[in-house]
Amino acid sequence: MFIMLKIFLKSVIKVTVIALCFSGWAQGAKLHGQVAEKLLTSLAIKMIDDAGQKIVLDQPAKRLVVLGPNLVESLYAIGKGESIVGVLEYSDYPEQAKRIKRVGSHNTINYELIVSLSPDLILLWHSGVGQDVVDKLHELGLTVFVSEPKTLLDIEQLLIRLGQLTNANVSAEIAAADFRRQLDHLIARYSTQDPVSVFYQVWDEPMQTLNDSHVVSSVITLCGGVNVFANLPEIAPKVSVESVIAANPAVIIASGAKGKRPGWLDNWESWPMIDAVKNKQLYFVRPDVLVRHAPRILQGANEVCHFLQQARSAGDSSDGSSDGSSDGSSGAR
Amino acid sequence: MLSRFQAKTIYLLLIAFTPVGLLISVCVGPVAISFAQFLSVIPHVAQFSPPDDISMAGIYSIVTDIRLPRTAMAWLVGASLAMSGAAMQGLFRNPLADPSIIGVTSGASLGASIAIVLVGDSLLPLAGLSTLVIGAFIGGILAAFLVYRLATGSAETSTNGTSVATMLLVGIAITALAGAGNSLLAYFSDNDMLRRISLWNMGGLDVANGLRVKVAVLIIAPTLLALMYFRRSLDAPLLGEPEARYLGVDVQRVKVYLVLLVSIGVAASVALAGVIGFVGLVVPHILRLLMGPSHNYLLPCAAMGGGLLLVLADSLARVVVSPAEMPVGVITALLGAPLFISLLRHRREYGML
Repeated sequence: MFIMLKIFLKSVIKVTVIALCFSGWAQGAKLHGQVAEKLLTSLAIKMIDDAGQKIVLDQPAKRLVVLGPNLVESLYAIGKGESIVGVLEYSDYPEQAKRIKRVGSHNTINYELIVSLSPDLILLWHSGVGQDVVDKLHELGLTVFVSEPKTLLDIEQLLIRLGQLTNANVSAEIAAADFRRQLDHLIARYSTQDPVSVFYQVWDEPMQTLNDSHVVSSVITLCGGVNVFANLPEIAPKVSVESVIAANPAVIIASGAKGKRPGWLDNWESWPMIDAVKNKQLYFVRPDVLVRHAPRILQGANEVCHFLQQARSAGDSSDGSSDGSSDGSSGAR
Repeated sequence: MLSRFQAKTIYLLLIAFTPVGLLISVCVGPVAISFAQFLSVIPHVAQFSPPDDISMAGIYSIVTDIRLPRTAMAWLVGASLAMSGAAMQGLFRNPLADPSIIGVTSGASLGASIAIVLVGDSLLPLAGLSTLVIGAFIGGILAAFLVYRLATGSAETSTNGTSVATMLLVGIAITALAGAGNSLLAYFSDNDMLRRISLWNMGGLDVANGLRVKVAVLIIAPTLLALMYFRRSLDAPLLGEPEARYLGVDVQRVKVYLVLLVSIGVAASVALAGVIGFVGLVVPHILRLLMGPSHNYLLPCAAMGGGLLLVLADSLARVVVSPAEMPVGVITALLGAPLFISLLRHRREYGML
């Protein structure tokens, strides 16, 4: 009974999808006919995306559906924000991005809405939406550019490629060069400083951190810090107060919700045997400038580097008094 | 007679092993504390006075502020889940009954999700307990109350009072309803909330602190003692409810009290430590296979067995992937399921099935 219903529903969905595809294709073909006469074929754009798929665009993308807040930010950074026609929930930067049509959130994508927007390119952040969404969009006959930036330098490449896709080569090159210059500046200034051990706390209950495959860890490394839980196998491992005591970080950086310093950051005060607590090195960095692969990550990186620098001078000044307890904690390990 | 002898042996064995388990749990963790250091800290712990030596003071506060609360909470939660499971299996005469059968667990889950998604941080925590804990406790109690009221209402015309079968079915219905509510909230929540909901649903004892242990002692410990009081009244209903009445047991009264005690105990356990599966369902079965169905020994043994299992599982959860933590529910299942299966294979005549 249920199986029959399921099969029936599946076929209904298929038919709908095919119909939608067809109308999308017909529209696309009409547009193509008009434009092709006027434009040279040299405008065709060929590119390999981060998933290794070959992308071919007959002309620069003008109607983009962007599934990933970092990609939205990056498009605005190269001056192509106005060509976005659909975004995911949480695409909250810059301010104008909040007014773009929402086509889904982290757990649902409204495919019908996407198709009805007749986009000529879908940009998506792979880790954010998952392979199922990529497959489904391909099934619908849409052109999909999969982005999976891993390092900070990948952001530079991302900006350049977004420029190529949207015919904004010049502004993209400028934005990318600007990003690279600021990044190099931070690297030159901080990455060779004395290493500072850092615990990045995502949340308190349950207590979660991030390992070195997350971009937050790259920012910490860039600032000359050492993520104390970098080597854990999971990307967002659950840890405990005791494991933080055992790791004895010199700095604790907290994420938090809604851009406010979280109240739970002060709970560490009851553990003065941790160097970060003893030397008052408990900091908060807004997660949206630290976890997104977008140019704004430099803002977060600046803050982190600044905090680690403060920790270095705090550690120096309290060196004499810290001897006893650092002996103790190393003994406890 | 043999089974009674066995029951007593197991009872004594559990009494003997409980301190060993508690000691292991206090001694292991990401910060390695040697046994000698541990011994030298004990007098200070007993007198509530931190030692003067700085490194020993660190060990002292790790023992008193992290490990003792965690061990105590693990024992109380494990004991409460397993004893409630034993009581529910006895009362419902159903091998699949576990503490969640009266809707407590799913109600608490829903309460926690409501606290995370709708209340958030806007409401100030009450007396240091997060809104999540309070929401979960209230949700659990409300769900159990609802199940009980609905089951009683529908059976008023019959002479049975609260029908056990109706209660079971209403419990399933309320569980499904709360599950739907939970999914709905998960759908509307953002990434942060979703992460908190899913990790809360995995359960864990890492959240233990002095305050939570006080709450556990104040709420869970009395329910454990009160359940002990009913251990003899639970044997008669095994014969069937009419037979139990002929034996002079006020079945209706026993039922009301048991459901009340189990819902309070389990709601508190789930509120404090999240959803920890397996302990409440399988520990009573393992013990029943080993020692026979008499609740006189079964209830205290279930409490000790559940407490011991959760204390040991939590110790493992802390060390196997140290410094990260494993979800404790995974370990309770990995430890208990093979034992349960091998017992089932050797005792095919198990009465409960």
